[in-house]
Amino acid sequence: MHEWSVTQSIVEALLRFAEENGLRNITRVVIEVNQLSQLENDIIKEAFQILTRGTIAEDAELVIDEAPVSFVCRNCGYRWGLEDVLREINDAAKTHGIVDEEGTVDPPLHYLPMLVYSFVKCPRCGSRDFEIENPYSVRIKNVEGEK
Amino acid sequence: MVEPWEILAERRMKEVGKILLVGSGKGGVGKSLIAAGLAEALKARGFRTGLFDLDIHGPSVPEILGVEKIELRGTREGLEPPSINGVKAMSVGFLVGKSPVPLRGAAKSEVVEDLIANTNWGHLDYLVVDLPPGTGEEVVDSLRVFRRFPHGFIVVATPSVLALSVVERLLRLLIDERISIEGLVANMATLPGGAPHPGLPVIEEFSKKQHIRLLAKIPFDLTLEEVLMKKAPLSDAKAFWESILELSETISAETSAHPG
Repeated sequence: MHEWSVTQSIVEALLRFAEENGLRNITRVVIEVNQLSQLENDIIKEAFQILTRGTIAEDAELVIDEAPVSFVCRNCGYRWGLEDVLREINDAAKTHGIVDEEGTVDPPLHYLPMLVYSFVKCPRCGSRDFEIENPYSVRIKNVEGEK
Repeated sequence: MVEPWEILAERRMKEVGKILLVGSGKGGVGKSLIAAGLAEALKARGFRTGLFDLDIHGPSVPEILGVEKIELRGTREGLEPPSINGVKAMSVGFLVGKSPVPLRGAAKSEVVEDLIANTNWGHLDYLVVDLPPGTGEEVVDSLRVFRRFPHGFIVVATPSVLALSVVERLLRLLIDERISIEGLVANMATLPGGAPHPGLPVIEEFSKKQHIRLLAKIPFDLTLEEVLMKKAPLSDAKAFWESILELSETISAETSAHPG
């Protein structure tokens, strides 16, 4: 359900951008969504369609770029991907899960992806001192429209 | 282009009457206890109050409120802050429990931004924010958002020359960032037993020189530690509570909020 809140903020940001730049309509939008938050693309698309109704973004094509997340340990140099630590992330839902209106239990990272540092350690050396490549949770990458 | 999180943050703050930012130049001066006490005192005066723990590295609001574990709920409007003894509260501690929060750089800012953007406070008279200590990026990031809404900054300091030199730097930052300053709170203003702290004249002189109001002198209350250990309400620490109630009266007398 968090997807609705995120999408609403994207739609409002787009409409403000269009107004500031004198766009008559918005035809295409590319957003980047970080895989850490495990947001569902289908829900984002559905929310986008509904939330843009009656606006200048009504017919806009929404493209979702899923930014692959990768980690590099600053202690031992080991590199790993999201799939290697999915279990730890989903285990966080068992102890610190957030229950939505439909009864689904989401991990805290669904709302605050950077809390990954609290739940994940380097699979090789156990350090929490690591870098994340592509750390942005959600961002608008590109907007196309007509003046 | 405005960031999506800033849009959400604006929406979350829209229904908040006044944001009370509680900060300090350095850690260990009792900022979190003052913030939590102020929130509880405002609630006791009948105001709808929230307590927002943004001290992401050292969240102590869960301990102060006596919360060991809490199940958070999410809706289309974000995370619902649970009501604890009538005060709505949110802390990173509710999301990670006792796990460490070893954040650096952009990740630190992002956690603060996401917390502000995703906590759905609803209608409040006051939102008391326990800021991280110091003047790091997570403080500057929060100020950028909060200053767009009715706000006041409460600086907490102990009566010591060392604490005040740090406070002076904090005040300069607040003035440069166009933050409205409510005043100064002298914490541990008395010694155990009730005698005034020898450094008290220094803080009084400092507030005159800086043209900053001294809002309250909070006594050193030996019973406070016991209250925290028992997870009892802060109002059980009588001397502390009395001075915090006075602080809440001073604060609320000057804003247009009425108990709701």
